[in-house]
Amino acid sequence: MPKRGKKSAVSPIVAANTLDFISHSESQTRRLGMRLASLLQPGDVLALIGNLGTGKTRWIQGVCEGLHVTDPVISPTFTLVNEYLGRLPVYHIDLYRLSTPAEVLTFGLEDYLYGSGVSLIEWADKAGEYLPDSRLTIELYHLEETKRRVVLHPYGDRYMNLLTDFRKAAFAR
Amino acid sequence: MILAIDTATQFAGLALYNSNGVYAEESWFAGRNHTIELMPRIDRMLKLADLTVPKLTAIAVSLGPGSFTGLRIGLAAAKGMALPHKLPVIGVPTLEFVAYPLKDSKLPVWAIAQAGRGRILAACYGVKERNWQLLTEPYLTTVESLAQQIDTPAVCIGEIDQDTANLLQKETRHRAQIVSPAARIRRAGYLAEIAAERLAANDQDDPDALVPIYVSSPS
Repeated sequence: MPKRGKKSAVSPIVAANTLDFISHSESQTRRLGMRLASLLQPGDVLALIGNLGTGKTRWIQGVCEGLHVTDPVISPTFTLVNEYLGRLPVYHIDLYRLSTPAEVLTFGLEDYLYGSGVSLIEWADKAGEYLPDSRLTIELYHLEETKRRVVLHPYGDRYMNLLTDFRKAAFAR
Repeated sequence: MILAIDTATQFAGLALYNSNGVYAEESWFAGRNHTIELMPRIDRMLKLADLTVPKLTAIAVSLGPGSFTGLRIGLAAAKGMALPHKLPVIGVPTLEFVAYPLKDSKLPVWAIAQAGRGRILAACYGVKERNWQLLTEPYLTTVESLAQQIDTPAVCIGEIDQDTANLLQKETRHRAQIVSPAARIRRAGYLAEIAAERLAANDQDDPDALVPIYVSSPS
């Protein structure tokens, strides 16, 4: 069993196929995003789920920094998609304004998800059954002013492997 | 002269077609660059034929299924050129003109287009009650699932790379015959030919009502 409350900055709880830990600051969230970025491949999908102010955009900024994106990374709340070019093409998608999952069909979400870049989706839960079967889900929960609980769920073999690699890279275990 | 435009997937195509058949044709890998590459190529092809848009008799366009963005670019270009000159617009389902070169085949014909990340679009055409027609509506699938679907001898044509071809033959125990690589390519010349037949039969589409065909499935 993993031990909690040790002196390490983060305390990953290792359950079957998930990674559950606490980020203590925005800068830590960004660093974790950068670590994850170094492991990403064309076609990868990260689905971020969490309320306003839980750090979805911070995660994405970290991932983009890790992918060497130099453009400013701002949530495309009204434009739905921002495209950046880093080590890989990056599709920053924000589904906040969707009222039904079927609306994803009205702006071509699938062209991004099945394209040659990395898709980073805020408010991914709004896409419902239109999210791909294979993806890494990142759930964020507000704990205290600067503390967030982070739960990573892999769906599909690719993301099981990605999570294993990320666990090693970020927590050395 | 009919201008045919196909931007349904990463492979795009253009053709000019008159009463003698194909006058000019181009197929190229456009990737995601349809917006940048389509209009200059149309312009070049029209210049080579010493034509301008008002001199065309009709515009044919590939209706999908295919990439959301690609289809919208093709339809927008077709409508934008046709409307000011009141040219007829004829929309043809993409997999219909993929299958069309094999319309004399005795076997059912599976027409295939790529949908990214190992997903494919497939539809089956064949002769039924002496008429060449759609037998299985276009749907989104994978090569493995399509192979299971092919339980009797059939011919496959369309965007099939060599790995896909090998997999299809293995998984169907060679029930699936696959045309040679050069014959697989989706050709705007056939799009134009179907449009020419429909134009001759006075079967045109209302440009305002013409919309892309999207096949999307909750995963």
